[in-house]
Amino acid sequence: MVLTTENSSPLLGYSQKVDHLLKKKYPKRHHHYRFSDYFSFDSPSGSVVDWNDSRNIFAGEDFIVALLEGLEEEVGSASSVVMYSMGRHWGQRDAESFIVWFEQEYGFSVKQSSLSFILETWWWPLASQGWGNWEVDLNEQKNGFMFINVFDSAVARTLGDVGKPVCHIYAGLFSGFFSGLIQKQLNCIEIQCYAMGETYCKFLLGKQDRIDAATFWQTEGGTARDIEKRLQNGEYLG
Amino acid sequence: MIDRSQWATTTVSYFFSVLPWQGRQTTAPLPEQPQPLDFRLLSVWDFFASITWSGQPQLAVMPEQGRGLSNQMSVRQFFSHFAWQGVPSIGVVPQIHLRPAQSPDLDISDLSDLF
Repeated sequence: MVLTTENSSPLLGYSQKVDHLLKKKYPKRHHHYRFSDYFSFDSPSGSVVDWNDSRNIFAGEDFIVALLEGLEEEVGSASSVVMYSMGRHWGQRDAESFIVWFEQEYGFSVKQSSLSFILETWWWPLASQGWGNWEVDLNEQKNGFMFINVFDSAVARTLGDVGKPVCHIYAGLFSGFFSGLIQKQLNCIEIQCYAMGETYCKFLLGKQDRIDAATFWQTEGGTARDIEKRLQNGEYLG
Repeated sequence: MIDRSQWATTTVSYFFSVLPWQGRQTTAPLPEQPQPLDFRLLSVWDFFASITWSGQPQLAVMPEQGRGLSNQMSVRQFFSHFAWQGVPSIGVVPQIHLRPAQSPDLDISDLSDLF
């Protein structure tokens, strides 16, 4: 898993900006999401920058485990809320910078582009960084919610089968990003997780009422399929 | 779009560059006698899904003179009909002129209207 900072920290003693060598040679190259293309490794300084000139660090599974277990030790069951909140803030800020970056990269705004192109363009760097592959399911768009499937979630893959959803940071990320993208308040919940023995993680994105309903059904023991059916049938709380 | 009779003498790069990779309707004129299953008009997904990847053609298809290429042929038969010794411009990335979506795909406004 790769974590990105906003910019290089002067405290680390790097007075010069580290260049991405491939980008310097081909600044207009859009297809730059292979691992070897997206990252540039500067051995003398020991730093890694990505195509967008952000400093990156590589974090192993130990880091993920330590983060989650440490958080749980500090705040108990509220750790899932903390992780969701972290993801949400991340997603909101990422949406703001993504919209600006997209227009600079392609010469037209996100409002003029195909939705699938926008979404894949946003997710590709995250996939390169090891956050997993995804699939956006818009089949239920007419019912006011959508599903996002994540394959190889960094968090779930690390924790293994623990019997409960663990990808709260992903749920927060999707909530924050899509809210920022369409300028409407959206929430997200993970209704199926690799850490529950499933083959992939499934997230429900929608308005608060649908998420509340899904949360309730989930705590009552409902599976992802049950939740999906109930939402399709128009069952909501309140 | 090139005529099927010219495929055997067309370079590989040109052949692939005129295929509708983005799944959009081609604006090029169709041949005078369009074939019902002209694979040049298929989306990338449909095209590759219809190829007999196992190498066992479903039909014993033999290419007719000047016509022959069919997506029901085995992979070997299909690719043996190209002029591989054409002008060496292998691996040239075609110039892609990005423009805003004009197809009926969803955009951000559509996504926003869902919620």
